[in-house]
Amino acid sequence: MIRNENPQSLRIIKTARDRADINYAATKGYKPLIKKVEPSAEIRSKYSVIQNKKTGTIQVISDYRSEIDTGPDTDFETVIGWTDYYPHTFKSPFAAYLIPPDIEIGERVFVEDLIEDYIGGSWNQGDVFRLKSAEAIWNGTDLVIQYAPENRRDFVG
Amino acid sequence: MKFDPVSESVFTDKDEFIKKLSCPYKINWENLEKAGPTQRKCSVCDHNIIDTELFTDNEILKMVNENPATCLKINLNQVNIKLTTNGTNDQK
Repeated sequence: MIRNENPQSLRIIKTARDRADINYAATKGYKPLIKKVEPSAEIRSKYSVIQNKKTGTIQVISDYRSEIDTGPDTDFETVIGWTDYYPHTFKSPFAAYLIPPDIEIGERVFVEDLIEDYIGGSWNQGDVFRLKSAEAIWNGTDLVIQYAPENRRDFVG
Repeated sequence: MKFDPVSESVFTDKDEFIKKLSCPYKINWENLEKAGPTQRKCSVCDHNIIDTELFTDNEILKMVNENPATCLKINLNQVNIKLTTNGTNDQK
């Protein structure tokens, strides 16, 4: 089997992330299914910034296990304490799934780059990760994402 | 070893880039067939997946340099991994 082929050989639905790519796909016969890009408040990573008092250089840490001693007798101080943030940016506030003209109602497909935010996993340090890809079913007007919540801690690739 | 879970990139402790984990499938490590003490057979592709918890940074870097298609598994709780971020957001 070819590497990164989806397991059931489902048709892959591509995502266009800006106006130019959406319009180009439309000229090639795809029906762009437009969606808003709306960050979920549930998806978050964390960071803290430590600065060397002598050199001014910083270290960004994202793991409680990496904490650096910033006591008064050390060269380091915490300039930003632990802070949650949404770790993704998108070049446009809208995007589109590129629906092939010959798709059939009920067809199961593989969406390579999800526009919607779904939780792909979480971790006991509080980070909540975004799901990148999922299967979906075309119902004639929309892709119904086949979302199965999971608590992912393993990353593979 | 360091891992950025947003970009899914792996680095050595000295910040040398090792690889970006790009597998889009839900691979459940526990359900994979063992292929020796340090790896398991992928249920989707014809590849073995290396358990990075059992190797040093240099060993992993050497493996990936020799074969960039080497598949790695990282568990966020493994003892030789620290999460990292480079201070920029992942952009699409």
